[in-house]
Amino acid sequence: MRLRVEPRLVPSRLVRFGAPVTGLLAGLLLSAGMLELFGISSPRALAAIVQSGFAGGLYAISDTLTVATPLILCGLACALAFKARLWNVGAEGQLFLGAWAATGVAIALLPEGTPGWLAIPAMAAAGFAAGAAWGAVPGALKARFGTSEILTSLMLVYVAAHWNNYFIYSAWSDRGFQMTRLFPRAFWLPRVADLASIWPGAAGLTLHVGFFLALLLAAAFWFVMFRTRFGFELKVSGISEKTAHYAGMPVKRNIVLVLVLSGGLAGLAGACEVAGVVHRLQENFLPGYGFTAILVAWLARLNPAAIVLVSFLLSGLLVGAREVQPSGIAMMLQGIVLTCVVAADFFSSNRIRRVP
Amino acid sequence: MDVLVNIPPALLSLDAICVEFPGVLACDRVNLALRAGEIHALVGENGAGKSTLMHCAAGVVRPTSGTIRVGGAAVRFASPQDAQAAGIAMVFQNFLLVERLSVLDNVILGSRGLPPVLARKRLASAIEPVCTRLGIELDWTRPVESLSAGEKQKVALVRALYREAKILILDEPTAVLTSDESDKLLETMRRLAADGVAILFVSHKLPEIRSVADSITVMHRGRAVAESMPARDISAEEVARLMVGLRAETAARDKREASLPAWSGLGAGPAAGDKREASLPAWSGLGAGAAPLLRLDSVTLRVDGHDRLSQVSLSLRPGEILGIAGVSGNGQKELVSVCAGVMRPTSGTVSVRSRDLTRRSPRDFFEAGLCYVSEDRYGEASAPQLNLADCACLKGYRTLRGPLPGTIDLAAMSGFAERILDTFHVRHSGAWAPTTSLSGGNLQKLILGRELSHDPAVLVVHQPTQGLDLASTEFVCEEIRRQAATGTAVLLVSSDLDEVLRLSHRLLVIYRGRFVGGFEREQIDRARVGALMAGLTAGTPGTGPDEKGAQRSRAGASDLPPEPSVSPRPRNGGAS
Repeated sequence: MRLRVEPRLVPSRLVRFGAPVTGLLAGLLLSAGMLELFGISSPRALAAIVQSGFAGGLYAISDTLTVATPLILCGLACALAFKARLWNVGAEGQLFLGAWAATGVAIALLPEGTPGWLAIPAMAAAGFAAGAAWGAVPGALKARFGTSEILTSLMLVYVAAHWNNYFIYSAWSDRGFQMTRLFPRAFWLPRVADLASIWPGAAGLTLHVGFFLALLLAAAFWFVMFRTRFGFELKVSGISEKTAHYAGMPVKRNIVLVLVLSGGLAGLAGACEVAGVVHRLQENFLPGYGFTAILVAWLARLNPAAIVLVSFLLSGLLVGAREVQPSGIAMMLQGIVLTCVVAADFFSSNRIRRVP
Repeated sequence: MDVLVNIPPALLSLDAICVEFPGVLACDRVNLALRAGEIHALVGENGAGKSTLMHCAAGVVRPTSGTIRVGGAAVRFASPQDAQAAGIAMVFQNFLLVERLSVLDNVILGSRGLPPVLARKRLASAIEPVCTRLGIELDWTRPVESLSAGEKQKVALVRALYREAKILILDEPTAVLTSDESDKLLETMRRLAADGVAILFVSHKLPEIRSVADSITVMHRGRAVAESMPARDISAEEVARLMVGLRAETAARDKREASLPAWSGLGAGPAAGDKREASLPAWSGLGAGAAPLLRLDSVTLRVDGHDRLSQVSLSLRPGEILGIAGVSGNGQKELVSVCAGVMRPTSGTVSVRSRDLTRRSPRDFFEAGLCYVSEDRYGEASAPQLNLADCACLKGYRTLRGPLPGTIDLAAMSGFAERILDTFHVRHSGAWAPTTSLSGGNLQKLILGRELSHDPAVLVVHQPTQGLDLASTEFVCEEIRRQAATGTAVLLVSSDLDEVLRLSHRLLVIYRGRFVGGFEREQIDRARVGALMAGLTAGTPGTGPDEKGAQRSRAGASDLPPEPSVSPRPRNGGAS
């Protein structure tokens, strides 16, 4: 008897949703085993994760959604590029630069007393523009010289990280610490907690307006993809660039445009993060959301609603795992679970059959 | 022609083969027997189940029921490798070559028992005899992606034969070849059969079937309507009737027709041919005085240091069908690409309706009223993951505006698609079905319908009927003819000489990127066209295109004096 792997021609609905769920369960089981190895009671640890990530009331949900915000935005950024079969893997760098630009506007450009209604849109616009510029570089190189956008976008992540460090360590350093000074209070993104005066239950909820912006952009993503000429052009280019060129679509312009928009979305994520959560720029302020987003986009099959859902689940895991000590465990659990989900994804498009 | 006393045992026999795909019974109890040294033709319309049947024999598809026997013993192929081990080699219609690899690497790809270190020169010299036997010349180091379809076919054939197959399966082997190349291939097939190789081949071209096939199986909608008939017992018209699902006529009449000399030599049967040609109206002369709708002036196209086109000029009058005859791979792809703006010429000018569009985008060409049907149905003119509505609106999507700026009206999109699907009789299951659900013929109808729906002033068509069944071919030809009759200038590029001869008012022969001859309809001499296509000029066989040939081409173009005065377009409408 032999076993053979063959592709599923039409994956059934059950398989398409069952495979990732099975992968998630397998990942949790494997994680439990690892926890036991470290001498941690796995049922208690997993219960703690679920408790503080998802089931711990409004606070837990608020924390999870706050973490989900940059994941959704970067996930949309990646999905937009992937739709057109452009492999922008540099969302991380575009996010850094967006955070940098928003910070620059907040602490170096605008005077302290600028009202929030002016400052916040300016920071967001700057974040978007900086990320877009960072995305435009691989886009232009690809359109003009056919350079692989995978390499250029990835390498630019490191350039962006060091660029930021220069400002964090020296130009904008707050009294020698590896961070900038705090933004003026008026520049912070409005939070749910700000509603405490009219709804006492909102006190302490850190969820900021960026999350709702991300939801809005997810809806816009869907609209652009399925209802506009630009979306149609991206669909055709993503399937066959030759066909798009034949049909008279502006293939090269779209390459640049897609990477600009993709970079802009990631840049916006960076701006939201500094304006909504950290309120300053500091080193390593994010645990690689720009890279995780590649997985988010891929697991969600580039579907914006699924991107929101996947981001939520993943952030819950991240938030919940903070409760488990030592702290490195959280990242390890995330790694195990993601690896299992990705591996299980293979079975949604392939099956194993016995060959007699 | 005596009665066969000793019928040799079948080398390959397919007994009561059924293949069921979701929703379709592709093969329904089909029997087929293939003997050593026999050439067996498998005939049928697109979607009749021929490919599926062959895929069973080649181990690509496993039959739902039925038995495959090789040399009398029942076998079960779990993979194409199993079939190969049993001595069955198949050349696929789309060749299945690895585009990025060289010719040699493609030939040896998948061979068993290769040494760990590849001495490519030695391997090449080991394969050389196979090529010599087939009369094929190959440049071993060229990447396959740079080859024309005709050249790729040769690579695929060499790959199949190099593995010493006893049974050779060819899926429409001459579809992309010109008559000359086809003749060579048919000759090769005869030689292989004489060596004892059993050949099963699919074809739509009845003349070539008649010239090489010993027996014929005709399929219609999954059933074999004639099973392994000796070729001399069945007439061409009979085969054609069976293919399209008509009942067999009386045997007496068949015999009489079979004795007609209709089958000898090249070309369609005279009866059929005469009928078609009689139905071709002479060029109306509609736009005789008008400015040419499409003009190429001394166009040269250089790719990777090679001149794919050199100093090509042509001009196309309204209402005229200009045919370009030539062996595939002589610059046809480049010619149509330049005409449609998909490729930019290195030098020279291209103008549509007297507007110089030399370095403009395909969209500018389209908006100037030029529509182009690419030969590459699955990679250029359409793409596999598109749905029918996408495919139908590929060029017209900008006009299907929704209420908001930049949006597309999906209802208008499916309405537009439905109109084309209905007008062009595309058998389909809804506008949102994937293009992969269409057979080749139906997809081609959709593509042609899309281009014609934009009411083109100039129509450029490349290999419009390649791989289509008779009915679809007839339909496509009729549409092209009808479009020309409304005043559209048509550039028809095809390696199917019969098609070019049937449809064209005027003919140019292309060879190695140059026009080597031009004919008005009345002067067309099949033998001379064939010689020019093969690179021979009259009286000097064996030499390349000489100065005379080049001059003739210039003369052909200057038959049509360009008129600088801009006359209004002879007809209304168009895409702009």
